Amino acid sequence: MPEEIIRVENVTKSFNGVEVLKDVSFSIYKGEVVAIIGASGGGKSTLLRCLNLLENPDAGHISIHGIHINDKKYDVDKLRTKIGMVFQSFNLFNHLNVLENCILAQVKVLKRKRKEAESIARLNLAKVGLSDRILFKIPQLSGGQKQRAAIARALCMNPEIMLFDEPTSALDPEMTKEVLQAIKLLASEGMTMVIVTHEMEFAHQVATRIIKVDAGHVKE
Amino acid sequence: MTSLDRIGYLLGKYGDLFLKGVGVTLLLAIVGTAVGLILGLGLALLRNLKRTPQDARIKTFFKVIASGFARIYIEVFRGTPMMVQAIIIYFGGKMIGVPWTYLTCGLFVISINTTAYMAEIIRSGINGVDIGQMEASRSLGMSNFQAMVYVIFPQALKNAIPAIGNEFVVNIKDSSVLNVITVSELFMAAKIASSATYFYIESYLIIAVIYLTLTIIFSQVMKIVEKKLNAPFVPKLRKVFHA
Repeated sequence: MPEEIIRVENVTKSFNGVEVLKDVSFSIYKGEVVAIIGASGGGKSTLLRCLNLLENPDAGHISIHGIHINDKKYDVDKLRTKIGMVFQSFNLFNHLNVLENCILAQVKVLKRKRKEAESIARLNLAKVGLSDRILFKIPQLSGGQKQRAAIARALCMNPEIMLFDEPTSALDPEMTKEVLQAIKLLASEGMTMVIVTHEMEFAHQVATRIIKVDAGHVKE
Repeated sequence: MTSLDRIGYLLGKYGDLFLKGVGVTLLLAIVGTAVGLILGLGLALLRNLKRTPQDARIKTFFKVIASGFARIYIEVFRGTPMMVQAIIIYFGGKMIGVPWTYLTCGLFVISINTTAYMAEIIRSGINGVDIGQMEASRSLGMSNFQAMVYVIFPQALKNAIPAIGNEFVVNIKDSSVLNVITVSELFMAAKIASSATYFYIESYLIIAVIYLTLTIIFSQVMKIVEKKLNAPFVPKLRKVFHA
């Protein structure tokens, strides 16, 4: 049995009185690629965002390596360095170039030396095929390049697990392909990933397990 | 004596006074805007403190106090005329023994007044930054403060530059109210010249033209700065492909 990384127990979350997640429980094990699918508005993204506490569950527990993280005492910032997150709308830092996007958190959060951070950034940017774009400003990138840069930025923190929140929903098919390729590469390297997606074909190709979220309930 | 003669006379006799007035007015506007911007950034940061469920009780307490203070500060200084603030602060200061001159008090008043306006300008700049920027920062492990300083503020500041420049131009004009505590700025110069000569219209016409010239010049400077900042970035290709 592989090592359990995340365990979600009886998590409930409401927005303005509407229950988005109802008593959700599941586990994610090391090396798994879990695709979360389901209808829009069914709570997929909320579920994903609960995993790194961008949303706080109203009830239930989320533990990482057996430690309850939605406890008041837990250092959320430290947790988040171990969980990489990629957003639908990229959320790259618009005032920085591609390289600096990848360096900022390494230097400020992990306290790496700038030089070290830069070489790690270059390495990860090369991995997603952006070596020739490192000094570009964000508005000069195509959507696919932006998303790959965002993946590189998350990888620079050496996360144990990567969360993808509809990484290709804002992209046209050609760009979707390049982003999915980058994700497949990570899968082949054994990265643990949770991917919220509408790309059924991709989900079946890459995922080792598919979780369906439907009206706040989880079905495997 | 025609009006033109009078203006000529005033410029001849009180030229130095007007010139010194321009200097003091610019000093007030520059110091007020610069200090106001720096303190305004801090105040906006306090105003924007958000409580999170992870916070300890003491942290929540300080956050509530700090943002409450910022809110009241902004409300009070934007809700009362600077002229009134100047009088209360100058004489209030004297009463408790602050050894300030008219000028230092004037600099103080315009600075803390501008702080309130700047805080609101920065705050709307912050609100103009997409929420995703904060989420991305937090997802990388940055604290709320780090995200604010390294990600949100730089972008908010850029959003706010037109409004900040405007505040400077407003300060050039509004520093005139500081004549109530006899700061020797441009308005005070006209007041002195006119009461000595009884050439009221001409004295104030002179400073009107000077104010207009100053505001036009600085508005144009701000336009150029804005244009520069919005210019598209052209990468140095050689550097990029060798990287």
